Amino acid sequence: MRPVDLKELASRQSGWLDAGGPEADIIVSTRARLARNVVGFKFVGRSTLKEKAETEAFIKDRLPTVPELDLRYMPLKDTSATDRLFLVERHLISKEHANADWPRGMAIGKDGSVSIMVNEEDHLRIQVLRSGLRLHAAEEEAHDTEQLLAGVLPFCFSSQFGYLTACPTNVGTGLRLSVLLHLPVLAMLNQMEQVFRVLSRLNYIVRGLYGEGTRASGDFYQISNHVTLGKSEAQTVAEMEKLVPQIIKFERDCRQRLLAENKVRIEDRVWRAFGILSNARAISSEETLEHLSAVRLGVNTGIIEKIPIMLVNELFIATQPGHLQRKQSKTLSATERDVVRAECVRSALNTSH
Amino acid sequence: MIICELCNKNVATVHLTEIVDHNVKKELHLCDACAKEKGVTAKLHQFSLVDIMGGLVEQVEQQGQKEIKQAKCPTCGLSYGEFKAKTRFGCPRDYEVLRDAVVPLLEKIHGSSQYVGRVPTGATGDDAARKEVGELVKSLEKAVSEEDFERAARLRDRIKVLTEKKKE
Repeated sequence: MRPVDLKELASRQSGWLDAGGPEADIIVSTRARLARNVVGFKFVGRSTLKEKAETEAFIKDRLPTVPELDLRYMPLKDTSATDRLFLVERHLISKEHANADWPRGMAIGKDGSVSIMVNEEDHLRIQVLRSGLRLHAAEEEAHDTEQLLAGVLPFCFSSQFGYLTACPTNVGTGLRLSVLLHLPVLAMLNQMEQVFRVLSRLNYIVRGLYGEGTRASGDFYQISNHVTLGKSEAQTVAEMEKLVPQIIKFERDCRQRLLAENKVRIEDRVWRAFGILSNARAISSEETLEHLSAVRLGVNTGIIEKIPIMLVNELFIATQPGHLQRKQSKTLSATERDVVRAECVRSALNTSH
Repeated sequence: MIICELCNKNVATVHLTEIVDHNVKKELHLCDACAKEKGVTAKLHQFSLVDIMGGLVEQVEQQGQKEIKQAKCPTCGLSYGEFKAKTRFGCPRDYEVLRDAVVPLLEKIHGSSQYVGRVPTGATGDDAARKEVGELVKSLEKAVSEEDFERAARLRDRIKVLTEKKKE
């Protein structure tokens, strides 16, 4: 099976970063993830190192027998910390998977929208990532991928409990369906508490993508379903298809209202942010996210005209530590990163207008 | 609707996630009152999720399943005590071995312990469906004899869905 070429991965836009898809101004991406375990092997948490290696080998050997998926494999045990961080930043593997220290890997499909973590908490975590709001399509593609794999890998399944997983919070469909939303105005108007409360009551998990607490850095929030048992995949998709548009509407209504009542306030915030990003000589990750969020809002509301939204989306990722270090081909201290980050943002914003 | 895992009365509004040793991720759902009582704030965690989870599984024990304490999986060696400590399964067989603890735990987490998603197909599609219907009927009979009519109704609906599909 072909190995993963990180250089090539880094040089092209990942499918889901194309800033396309429905509701792309607010929904950056949709993700469908399925957890599966292979019959005949203990779950990851209970396996010895040797057993983990055997599980990895078993799975890895069978992945190329599904040519339709066109998968490339990358064992993580021997990759550098920077490269692993790079993969986390691209949303291809979880932080836990990057930081673990046992035999494990990642497989990725041709356009980067399908990826599989091998030996994370479960033997396989199949993931489909699409830009914009595409719940039905993402879940369907995840299912299709899983079906192709089920032809060559026997998955643990019980008629009562469904697909068996290491953690009881995943058993059943093993489906975690989530959307990544940009909610700068709701955050600015302190409405996120209310959103959290309503979503929790409905059994949805909300978390900030970067940072902690109720105001997430960059104003990015991830909403995902919590229940995987007692609800079918179709029900989960239908529920989210009803729920997410309401949050989108809430953000859009607040944007309209704010633009109508106090346009200057937003314009000032947007242009100050643009000014800092275009001119700073050293800038922290935290500050970059804060200002990029305002710039993204500016582009989406037409306040800033000449910057393509795709560029802004890419900058959120390109300014993260793993990406910066890969670009420089060396590890950097925090201070060095702040300088490189500022250069990266300055050149991107100044050449595009 | 997720109910608070401590008091079992109020709707959970505080959702905690703890990552231990890079790998074990635990989630816990509490209502406002219990969260305050446990001293949960956005920044400080002065309790261990394990203590609270342990308390949760404790409740299950008190519901009268004494034999479960001796249970140990012949395949992976996971004991009830270890499961209670980490709330992680060691292998698929654990779901059966620790069934008496698993079912109430799943009811608490998901509000259900019966799968209603897609049925695996593949080369033996019909066989798989037939086998599943057979197993469901057995479970239905058991539920009825135990007078668990809510569960029986869910199973009956599931059997109906599957047998209707087969007719197509």
